Amino acid sequence: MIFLKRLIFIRHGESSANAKDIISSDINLYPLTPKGEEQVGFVAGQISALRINNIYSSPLLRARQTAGILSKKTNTEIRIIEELRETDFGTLSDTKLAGRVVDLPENVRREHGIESWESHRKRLETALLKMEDRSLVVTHGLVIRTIVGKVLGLEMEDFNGIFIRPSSMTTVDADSNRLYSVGNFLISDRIRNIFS
Amino acid sequence: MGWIVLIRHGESEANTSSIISEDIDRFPLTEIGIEQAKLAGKELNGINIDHIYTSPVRRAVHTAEIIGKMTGKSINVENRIRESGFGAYNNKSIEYLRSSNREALGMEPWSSIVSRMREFAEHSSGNTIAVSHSLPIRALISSIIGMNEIESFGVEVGYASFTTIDFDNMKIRSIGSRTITPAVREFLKRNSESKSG
Repeated sequence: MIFLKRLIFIRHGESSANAKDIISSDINLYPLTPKGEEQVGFVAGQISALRINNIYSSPLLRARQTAGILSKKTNTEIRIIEELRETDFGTLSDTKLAGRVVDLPENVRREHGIESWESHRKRLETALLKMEDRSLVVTHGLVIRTIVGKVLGLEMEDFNGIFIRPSSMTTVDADSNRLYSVGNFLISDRIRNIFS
Repeated sequence: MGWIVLIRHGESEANTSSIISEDIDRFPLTEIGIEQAKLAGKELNGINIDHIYTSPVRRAVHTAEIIGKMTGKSINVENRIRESGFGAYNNKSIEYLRSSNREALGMEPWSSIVSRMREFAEHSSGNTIAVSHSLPIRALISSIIGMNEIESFGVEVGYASFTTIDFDNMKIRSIGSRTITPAVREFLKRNSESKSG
């Protein structure tokens, strides 16, 4: 018997935080912008042809709103998983950061009390245990980078050359450690078959 | 069979003008690009290198020359790792590259880029540095992971970054990393099948 855990990780759409280059761990601030809603609508259209059984979401507003748009389009219920929440940005939370947290040197991240990669790994493992095959997972950039690192067997600092944009999809089988797509916006024929 | 470290060229005048170009003789590195190439050369200190190949395009050659000087190795031009063909959009805005239908615009098809990059990789031996470009590097590693053009949209390696392929195990060890991390350095040293000369 082959065990499968086919998941499409979707980064929330552009939020008012992203639009201002603000990083924030806050649960209730920063809704989707109109552009963000449109981006998610596009991806929802792509996904509507797939057979999806579950939608899991981070508890943050921008993720819940994204999940809401996907839920409507796919007629699937949303389940909140606490462990899918945004990175704890420490003293940098609610401040402006040009560029990505993943590009900050380790000493800078530690200095600001930004959540460690190990912590991301641990909570992703917990989250994965709660997730079933054929699911959409609405979450945040560094959480998605953590699943990419897991399936490719790479440390975070070894794949700066991957960009997870707002609303993009990253498709994996978390049980067999396969990466089917990364940070993309169109469903390929292969992925359509995997989720048919 | 050894390893291949693909290094994307440093920042060039094409990049700062937001132009896509496959021209051989135009668009040198900027001052920043030169610094980036030097840093890359520095990262390679202590790594046993057998060959340095470069795309024939000026920004790659320039990057390779700097790395060659710092590592004491001569460079070889290799046409198969050149920039993507851009057809009628050569020397036009980078916006056209972001189209989801490059082929329809007459640019070099994904399959063609994959095919020549794989041919280069499969014929390489020993410890190889290859100075190339964003799209060809993305094409090669995506094909090893099993992703096509649409699926690999999120792969975008930075200037003078390191993308490491373990050929014996067909495994990717880094994708556009800015430094050679301890884990990768360990791998490169452990897998030094050096054939001098």
